[in-house]
Amino acid sequence: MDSFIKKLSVKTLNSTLIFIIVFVFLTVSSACYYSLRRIDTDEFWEIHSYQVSENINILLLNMEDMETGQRGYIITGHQNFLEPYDAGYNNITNTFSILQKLTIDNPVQQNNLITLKVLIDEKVTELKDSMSLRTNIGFDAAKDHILIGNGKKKMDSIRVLIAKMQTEESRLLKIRTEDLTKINKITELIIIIGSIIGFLFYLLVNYIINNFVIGKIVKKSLFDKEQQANKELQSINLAKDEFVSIASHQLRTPLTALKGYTGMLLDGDVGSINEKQREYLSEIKNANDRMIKLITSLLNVSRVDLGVFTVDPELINFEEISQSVLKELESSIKDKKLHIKTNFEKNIPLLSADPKIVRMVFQNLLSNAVKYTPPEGSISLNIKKEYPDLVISVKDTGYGIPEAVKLKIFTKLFRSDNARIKDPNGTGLGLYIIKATIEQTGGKIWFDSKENKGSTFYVSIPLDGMKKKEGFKRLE
Amino acid sequence: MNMQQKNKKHVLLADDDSMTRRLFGSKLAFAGFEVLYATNGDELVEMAIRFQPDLVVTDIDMPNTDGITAAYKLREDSQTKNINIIFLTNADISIETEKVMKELVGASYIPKSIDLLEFIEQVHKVINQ
Repeated sequence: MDSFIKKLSVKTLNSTLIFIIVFVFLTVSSACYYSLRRIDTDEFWEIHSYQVSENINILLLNMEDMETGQRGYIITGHQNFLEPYDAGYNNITNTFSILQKLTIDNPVQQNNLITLKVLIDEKVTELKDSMSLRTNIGFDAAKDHILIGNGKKKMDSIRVLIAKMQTEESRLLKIRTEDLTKINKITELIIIIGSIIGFLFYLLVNYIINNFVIGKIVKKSLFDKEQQANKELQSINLAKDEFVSIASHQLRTPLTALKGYTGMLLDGDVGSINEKQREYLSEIKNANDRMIKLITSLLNVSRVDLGVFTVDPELINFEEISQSVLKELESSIKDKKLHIKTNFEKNIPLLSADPKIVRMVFQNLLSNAVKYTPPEGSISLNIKKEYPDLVISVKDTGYGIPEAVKLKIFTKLFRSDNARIKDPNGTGLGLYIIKATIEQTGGKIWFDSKENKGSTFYVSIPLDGMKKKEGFKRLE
Repeated sequence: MNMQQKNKKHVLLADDDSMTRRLFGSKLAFAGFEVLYATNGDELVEMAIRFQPDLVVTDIDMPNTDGITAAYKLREDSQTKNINIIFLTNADISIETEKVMKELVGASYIPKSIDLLEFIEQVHKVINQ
């Protein structure tokens, strides 16, 4: 469930949830609406049944009224006692037609009505006959007519039929009432269940939102914050680089002047100098050289850190470059009486690489070897193919790297204690720079070392060459 | 003007920084050159037209008109279009500027950090082209 939800985007999740909510709402609404319509219909029929029942009663009442009128007249012989008879007689037709209309859907009641009509007509005839006898002949004749019992029989039949019709309506009413009750119950159920589902769904949506969607939103805002922090970091780095560049710039000019004038003095441009003067001037020159070196290294470090340096590969001869660097170190090598051995594999091809970078690598490795090997020691330089790379190794019989600091050798500004004793002038940046440079151009650098035995540094460069890289600045 | 002065080559040195001017100027003077000074690109162009030096040695980053713009102007003017130019660069030069300098006719560039003897060697080389 977790991973499924994660795959959905927040938008899709929202849309799905809204869709489900609307769907449930529509379903419950439709059910309620349908129920209400049914209730309406059923209520209608219920009222209908009551109406039929009522009118059947009215019909009976009309008949009884007519009987009452007849009785009154027969007993008294006075016209005014015929009022109930007239009233009843007038209503009966109306009531009857109402009933006919009301029961049009019910063939049973329709049949009953037909029978009832016959009975009523016969009863009315009987009533008329009896009254006519009273009017024309007299009380006794009417009485005798009544005593025959036909009237009573008719009335009884009418009562029986009416009772039957009432029963039928009651039956129908019962059915419809039951129906109505059922519908009410169902509607209630739908509303209750709908509400429960809606509520459960609300809880579910709440749960999902709180545990997944909010999570996503929080994640996104954390992600955005991270992006923001990264941007800020980048701009800080840029500011740092600019500062280093400006500071180095400003420092360069006076350092160049120092170097120049010291040089001119040492060269005797403005007159000869004595030993002591020469000695002091040399101290100044060395101190100055050290500062210049440090600034150059710092600039390189900032270029390497930001990866803005250029890689401009050309076909170069590694042997030639290494020999040229060894020549630069000639005087130190001679002073320390070091034995240099070079071992170049036959048929090393010209490699496509940035000459400045390659030169830097040789300068760093070879000058380190020279610096940290005691007099009479030996240094061997190997270049050979080890597919898919070209491997350069510089092996010395020097002071080696203590076990404890091996991991720090390539870190910025690090100098191990034994190195600092032998050469207090180092910047601690050389290996850092070449490691970063080599690695950013597809190569590798590593070493073996044993304290007081010596070290071997290896650099591999792909035989395919270094990739051209657009940058803003060159390394120096 | 004696024979020595007549045979002296003239170098027009342009840099907005006085320390740099004095440094390179001194060296050039000791090496036997006659040195003229300019402090920005406009002065450089004006003096180049007026004095027709044998060589122009110029900084790049100068106020108003920079070294490269001035160099282009020199190339456009018939009086100065054949004067050799050496750009003195801060080593922190961008690749872009390097390209431009390479493409400029009769121009080469050397870093300010160069050893002064080497600098004079270069000057001799270019001036005798």
